[in-house]
Amino acid sequence: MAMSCDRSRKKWQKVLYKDQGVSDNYVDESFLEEMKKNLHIRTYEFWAVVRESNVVMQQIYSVWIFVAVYFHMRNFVLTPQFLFEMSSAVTIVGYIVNFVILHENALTKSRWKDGKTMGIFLILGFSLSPILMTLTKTISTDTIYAMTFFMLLANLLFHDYGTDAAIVSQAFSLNAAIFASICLASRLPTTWHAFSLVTFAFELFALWPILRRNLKIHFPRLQIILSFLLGSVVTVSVATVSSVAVVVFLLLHLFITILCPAWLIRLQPYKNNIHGPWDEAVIKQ
Amino acid sequence: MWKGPRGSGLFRIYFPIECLNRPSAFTIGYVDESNKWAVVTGLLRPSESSARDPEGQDRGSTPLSSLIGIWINRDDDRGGGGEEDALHWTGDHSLYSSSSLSSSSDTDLLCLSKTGEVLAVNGHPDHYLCKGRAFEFVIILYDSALFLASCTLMQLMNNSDDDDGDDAGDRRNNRQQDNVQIISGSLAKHQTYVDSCGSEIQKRFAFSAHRRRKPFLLHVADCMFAFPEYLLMNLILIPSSWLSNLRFFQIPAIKMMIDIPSTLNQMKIRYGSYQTECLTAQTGRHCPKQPSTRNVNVCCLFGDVCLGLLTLGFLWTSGCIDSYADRFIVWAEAVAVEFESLLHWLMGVPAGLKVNEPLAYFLGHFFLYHIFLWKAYLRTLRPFWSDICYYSCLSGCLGLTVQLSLLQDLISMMTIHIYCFYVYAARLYHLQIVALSSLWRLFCGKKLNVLRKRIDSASYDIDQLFAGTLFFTILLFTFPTTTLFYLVFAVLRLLVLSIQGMLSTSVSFMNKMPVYWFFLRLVRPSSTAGRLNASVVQHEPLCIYLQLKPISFRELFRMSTRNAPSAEVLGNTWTSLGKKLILGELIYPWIEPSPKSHPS
Repeated sequence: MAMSCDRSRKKWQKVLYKDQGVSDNYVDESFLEEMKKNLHIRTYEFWAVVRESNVVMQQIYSVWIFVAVYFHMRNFVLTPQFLFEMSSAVTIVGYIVNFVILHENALTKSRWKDGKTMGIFLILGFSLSPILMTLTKTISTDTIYAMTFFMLLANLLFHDYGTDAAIVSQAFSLNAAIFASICLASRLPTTWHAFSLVTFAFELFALWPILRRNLKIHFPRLQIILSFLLGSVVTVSVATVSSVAVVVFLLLHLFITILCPAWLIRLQPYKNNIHGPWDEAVIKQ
Repeated sequence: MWKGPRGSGLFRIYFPIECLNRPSAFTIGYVDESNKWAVVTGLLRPSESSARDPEGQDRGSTPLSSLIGIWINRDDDRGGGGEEDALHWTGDHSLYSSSSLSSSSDTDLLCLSKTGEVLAVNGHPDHYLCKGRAFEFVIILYDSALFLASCTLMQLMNNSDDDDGDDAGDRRNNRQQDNVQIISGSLAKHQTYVDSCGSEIQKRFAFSAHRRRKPFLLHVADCMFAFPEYLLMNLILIPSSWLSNLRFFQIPAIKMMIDIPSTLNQMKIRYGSYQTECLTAQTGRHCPKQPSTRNVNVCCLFGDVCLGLLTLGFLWTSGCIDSYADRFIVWAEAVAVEFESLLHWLMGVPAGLKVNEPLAYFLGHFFLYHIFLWKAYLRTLRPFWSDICYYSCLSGCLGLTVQLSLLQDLISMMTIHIYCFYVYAARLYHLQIVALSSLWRLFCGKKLNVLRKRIDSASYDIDQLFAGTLFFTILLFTFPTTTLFYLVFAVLRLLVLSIQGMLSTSVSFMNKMPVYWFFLRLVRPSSTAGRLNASVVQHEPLCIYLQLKPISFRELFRMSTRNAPSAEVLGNTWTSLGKKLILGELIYPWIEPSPKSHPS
């Protein structure tokens, strides 16, 4: 008896190979003292988050512009020649800008590769356009629109916004966008329409994000101006198609730009991350 | 004190039922200590002269038939108790000196008496007997005459059961086969012994299970078959089998050309493989004087040829060839017209399904051109068609099976356009499926690693992604159209294949049917024994009567289908068929491993 009193005065150790004279369900005061809460918390500042959310918005702008262009072509407001010329001009300008930004020397190798890409793309697109045009002739329009919607949604979901999440798959997002563009292009009346729409989609979804990424790296302050520009272009073009769409777009814009950051910041106090010696070991190089 | 047989387990003693009312004598037969059986095949009366040692003849050569015991019949004159009888016997005929007895065989003498007592006797007359309760035994009575008469059939059943290899449910059958093999083997050895031993010993046999002379009916059958067999062998079969063994026919291309049309294949089976059957006839002479396999083959062939000639006669004399031939051509042309309308229907809106118009248009016109060619072919064939039919009935001379396989060939020639369409559609469908699966992987940004056989993530260039997505979309939207065409033609092809399959099944059934055994079963049932019946005659000691019953017709029928390669071997189960249909692989039901031997 006296021996056990002695032992309990000693500090209780978290080992099992010693008989420490206590019962099996004894809970010491040192329980959970190694637990740390919310170690890696970040404090968010509202306007900074709003500024960062424009990355998502820019991709959404691309999608809306594309759909708006489709509807304009369908209503014969926009002619395919005009679209093709405009998009080619903008592409060339963007290419030169990209070239200037990256300060690359005029190596012929990467120029040759880019030229090859362009050549393949043009030839393929042009030769397969007649097939593409009649591809979905017998499928109802509603089905096509539903498929396009889901494919563009997939594009937005899987797009690489600069984080390294597991869901990101650059190839899948690009392919989904091209699939959506082919679905829509098959609804247009002539081969020229289809070809120009597909070309425009390719430039918008494949080449524009590259330029965007490079601009963000080198000129971060340009992002806000770019977003405002694109936003206004989208609003104007969608407004001429349908007014309901504009309202939806503006609400969406508000939601993502203002509401979501506010929501994020409001939820921060509820964060309850527990860290402790039970965590998996992370090998740091 | 006698040790008794070594080891434990039931000792089986086979005793011919005809010996039950024979006078007392020495039993001769064969004993196997390790497998625990003893077969009595004969009863030998002792000779009068004491100097003669009947075992002396055996001793020089390999001891085939050895003395294994004494049979004591109490109703005999000698009378008396069992043990004294045995002593009396051994003592009386003391020419059997102890040394000769002890050196004659590994076992000691067994003594059977009519009441079923098994007594064991040691070689020395003054050593004592013990009643045979020291070891477990069972006496099995068998009909030696019936066994001798029908040993060929038993041999066949042994061989075919061995080929089955199905030991799960056939353990009882295996036990029966075991008995049959033991008895047949011992009888065969006994036959050779009797044939080789001298006439003095043969005179002393009180009973011997060997065949003295051939049954009259089989003799008649042999004579009947001798002349046609001579004719067939020398004029037809030997030259044709020499032909089929020529080096020319072993070239793979020629071999394939002969295997595919079933007429030639059937002729090769019937007439070309005669050499191998001849050889097996020579080596298969286990039983004394069994009907040679040549007779059996000839009978089968004869039946076939007779049926063929009957059909030929009927078709020629009834004069319905012309009308049927005409009707057939008209029907073939109507089928071609129906086909055209089917294709037009597919090019439109078939069953409300929405097909891709340009592709359906292209495929439809492609097949329509083939139908046009087919109709031209039919038109050129029409004048000669009834003559072709008339003279092809002549093949009935070679047998009904050849006629049926000729019919099968004609059907496959008449439906060759269906086969062509099926092959085109299947190849296109398969190609599309393979391309789609590969492009889907590209769509997800993954790639098939052929070396490791797994899916890896891959980094593609932008133009690769673009081209891949373009092709994926095109293939995906044209997939329903291709599937529709493929399904329609696959169904038609399966229909034709089922008709051909029925014909070929009946041909192979007729190939393997044992006609000779059917005939023999009707005429002389005792020589076609196929079933063993065991009934208990006496309980103490256990005595079982193994009765041979004639083979049932159903069993004979089953023999004809027994050696067919199973479906799993051919790879033609329903699941594999379904898988091939879905993947678009071609269905080839006629390529099967060639059968190695025929039971009849």
